[in-house]
Amino acid sequence: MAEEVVMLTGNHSVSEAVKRVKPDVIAAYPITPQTAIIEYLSKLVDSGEMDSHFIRVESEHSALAAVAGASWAGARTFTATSSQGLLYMGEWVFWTGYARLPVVMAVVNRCLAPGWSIWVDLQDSMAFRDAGWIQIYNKNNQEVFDTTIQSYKIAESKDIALPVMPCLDGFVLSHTSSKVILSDPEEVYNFVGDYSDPIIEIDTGKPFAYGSIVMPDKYNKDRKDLMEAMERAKAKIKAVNKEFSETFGRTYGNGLIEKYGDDDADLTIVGIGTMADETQQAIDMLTSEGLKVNSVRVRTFRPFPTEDIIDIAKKNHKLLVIDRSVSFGHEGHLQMEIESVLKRNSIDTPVIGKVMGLGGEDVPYTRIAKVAKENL
Amino acid sequence: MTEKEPSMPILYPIEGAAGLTGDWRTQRPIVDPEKCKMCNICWQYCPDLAITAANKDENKVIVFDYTYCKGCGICASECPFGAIHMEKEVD
Repeated sequence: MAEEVVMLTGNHSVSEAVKRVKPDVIAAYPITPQTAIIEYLSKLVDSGEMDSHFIRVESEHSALAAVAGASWAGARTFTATSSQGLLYMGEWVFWTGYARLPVVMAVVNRCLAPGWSIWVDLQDSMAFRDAGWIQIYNKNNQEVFDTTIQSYKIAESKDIALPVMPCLDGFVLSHTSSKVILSDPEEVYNFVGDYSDPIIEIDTGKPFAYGSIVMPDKYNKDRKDLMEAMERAKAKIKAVNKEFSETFGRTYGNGLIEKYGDDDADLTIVGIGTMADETQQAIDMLTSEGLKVNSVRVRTFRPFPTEDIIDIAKKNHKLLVIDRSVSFGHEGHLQMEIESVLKRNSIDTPVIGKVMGLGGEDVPYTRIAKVAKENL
Repeated sequence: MTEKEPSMPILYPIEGAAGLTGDWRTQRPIVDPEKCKMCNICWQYCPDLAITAANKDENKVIVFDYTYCKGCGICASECPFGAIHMEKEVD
């Protein structure tokens, strides 16, 4: 079987990637708009096309608990969720991150209730930005496929040992078909490698206790190590992006951010997810009108691309940050991080924040262009 | 990049992690060698690994480790043959 070019939804792009990576254990509970990922994988397991162990569970809390348990035992794992399901998993999201388990969990972004809605915003995964997970936000279905593959290579490195959340916008990507190049299964598996030398595994000859009480010195040692691993992850994500590009010919900026347009712009639009991809069309339109604008898509929200943001702020004159999630009582998540980076590094490039697209509100490039013009 | 093992929230067993817990005891278990059938049920139940298992081949009954035995009495309660009884500690 060689490379295939197909029309595929974002959800099935995740499934196709997972199929190629061959996890030992999959557990998940259905929730819109994630369900199709797991539905397809369970079909593949049932037909024998995949020989993963599929654990049927009664809730998302159990889904991640099952997968985390399997990961402790040395298995390669996968799960997926969205919105309310991610919230219900909450306890285990932090547990998995703090335990340093290399779980990969696709999060199909969907806003939180009430009011009840199934469409996209990033509030669900952003609420878990402090859980010790690497978060990678995608712009299209090809990137969804590629990021899911890359996630395993990042998570399972011994010098990182962190769970990874590839995030994709609900419906905009999850249920919309577009052209996807499905790389050769064997090549993908070779790229990721097997997981025969796991980060941790059950060894009856050398028993240990996990999750037991620890004294403050051990607790702080673990948290400091997590912080350092996140810092190292920046270089790892970049390296994996580069290696991926050399192997498969597809690349996503430097792995942490993706720039569009020329430096020295009067206005730089910074965004995340599909809205940041839409922004590139706004840039084309504004540039054709003779305006000096460019854009940056933040691909990796955790670890945050601090150094790249510093570089961008120094090379341009003003930043317009568009968020699709918000911290009530403060401001948009992306804006918050960018302002903090600039303040800490004494950079006085002005930052304007705009929260748009909550609850699946459509944000076409024309509207982004309009907001840009208002702030030029 | 150098390979690095993560610092995980796991603990490997070490002897006496909580100190000499035998000091906590108000009662001590005593085994009657005549009644002990060397079944090792008490050894399985002891939450503090404070019992050395009996050995039938060598005809050795169980031995308590009073350095760590907290005197909880689970062994005496579980013994099906009434071979263990608790005696008040006298200082």
